[in-house]
Amino acid sequence: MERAVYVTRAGSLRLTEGDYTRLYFGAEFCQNLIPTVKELGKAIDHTTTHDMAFTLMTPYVTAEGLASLEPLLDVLAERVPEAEVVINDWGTLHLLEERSDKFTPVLGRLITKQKRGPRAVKLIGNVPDTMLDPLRSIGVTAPLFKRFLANHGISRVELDNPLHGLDVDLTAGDPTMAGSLYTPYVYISTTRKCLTNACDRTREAVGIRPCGRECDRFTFTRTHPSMPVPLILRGNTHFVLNDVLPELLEERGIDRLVVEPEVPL
Amino acid sequence: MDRRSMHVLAPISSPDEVAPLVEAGADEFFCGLLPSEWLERYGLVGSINRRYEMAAQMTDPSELTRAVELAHDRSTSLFVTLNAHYYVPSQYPLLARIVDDIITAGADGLLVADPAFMLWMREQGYDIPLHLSAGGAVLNPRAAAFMWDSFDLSRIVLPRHLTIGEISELVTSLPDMTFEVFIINEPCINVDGLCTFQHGLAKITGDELNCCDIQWDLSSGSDDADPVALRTIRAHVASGRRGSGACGACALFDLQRAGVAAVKVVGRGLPIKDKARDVAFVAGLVRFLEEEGPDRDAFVAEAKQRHAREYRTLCKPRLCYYPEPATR
Repeated sequence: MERAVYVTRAGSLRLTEGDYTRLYFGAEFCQNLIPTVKELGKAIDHTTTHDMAFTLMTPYVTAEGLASLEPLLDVLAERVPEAEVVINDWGTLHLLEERSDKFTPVLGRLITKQKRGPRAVKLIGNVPDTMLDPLRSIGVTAPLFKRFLANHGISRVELDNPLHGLDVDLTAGDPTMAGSLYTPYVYISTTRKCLTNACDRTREAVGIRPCGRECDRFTFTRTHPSMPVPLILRGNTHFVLNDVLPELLEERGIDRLVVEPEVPL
Repeated sequence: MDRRSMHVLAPISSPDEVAPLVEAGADEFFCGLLPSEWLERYGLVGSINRRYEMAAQMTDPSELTRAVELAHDRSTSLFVTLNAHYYVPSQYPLLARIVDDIITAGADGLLVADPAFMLWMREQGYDIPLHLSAGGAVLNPRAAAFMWDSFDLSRIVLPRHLTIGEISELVTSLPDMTFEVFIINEPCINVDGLCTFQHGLAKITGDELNCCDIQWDLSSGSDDADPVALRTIRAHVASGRRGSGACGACALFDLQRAGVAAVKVVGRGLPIKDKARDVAFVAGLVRFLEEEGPDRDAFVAEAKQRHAREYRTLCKPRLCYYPEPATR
């Protein structure tokens, strides 16, 4: 099992010490947090020093966000041409294909659709397996879609570990795929109408506003009696914590763990 | 029947709603079909179309057939939602029978979100038009181009999470594609295509409210709690809660100028009188826009005046679909 570590900021590279052979770096959920070229350079330097492979994380993006990815791809093409790029927006794949770099695209967890809502765990024991099974599975395993992805150079999908269970076999059928499982934070939902935006200044209704990087300073916890676990709100995205890994991961084609040493935003 | 260049798309949950909504000004319809066989096997939690209340659904293909006939008799179109974020391979045999029923009923297109399902549709030889629902989360022109070409789309529904400026740039940059946007009702703080909160639990776990609607307790995740931030974040979470009355009518001026093909009145599960009021409000403004040719200021003033008159309430920032000013 390959062990990768994911941090979003250059300042968090200190958290990547350990038996990791790959570094995931960059923003997955917010285009305002796409790293600068300088920060990317620090992350690449870190992988050189620590003999790690490199994966650039990219978020869902507007046209403005896509434009801010291009300088990073230029640097990456020059310094780590064999890098992986996790795409969380089909527009980013479109851009990669136009550029003709040698990167390996990876299907990010925003595109690898899963049911992740924590209240689904309450269905266990209350509904038949026919209802629960689709919520534990993914659509990516449809053979036609796997061939489509393979034609676009994608042979790895990124997965979360939902509280209600994960039932995925990436080895079945042709072509086979590989999977990466993120741990321990499970992404639940994200928004461009950032709840944390301006939280230290204004009580105006949320909207799509200039970013003050409040997520650098604030993390919140949301609880409710109907929720089996607290929600973690950082910036524009909600997560839950699940530190119990499924069994037999490698037998099902999940050959990489992506460890998140802090809330990945 | 005269048709406006920018269509008003209306929700229905019964064939009986077609006639009054055409009368109100609807040009197109969308609906859900949740057959009992799917419901028994997968439940509302596994809804075939991401609507988790039966009030929003037709259940019998014969209802759909009747709705299509009524719509076509009035020179309007009807689209059916099969827009789950994903279907798993074991669901495809039943899905195929439901698609056959929809096509036999004469529906004019499907609203879809799952790329695997779109590929399967075309591989199976179905040539019915496919509209990418907001579940497709298209936020930029490259994503639109990729999905349009890859999945043989006829229309893209843009998510609620683009500004008017971003919508205008996206739509005008892709003149050969057709776009639809939301205009009234049921906003959501989360990006539709990127949200995985579980809905539809009410009858199983007793959780009547969706996660987006419940009254959360909020605390700081760190020891150095900032009381101002905590107080404010509570207000933000409250403002992000869903609720009725959301409206983007003022934006119709910019949407029409950008070339948006259709605006969607949301609310398949709402009572018919609410649907008819909302459709009449939006269609009336589109008609005013296209027939009177007002400038933006005049149009916005008219929209606000009509809104106040029709809904007996003033606009509220938290219920504004497109609060950010247009940049074009």
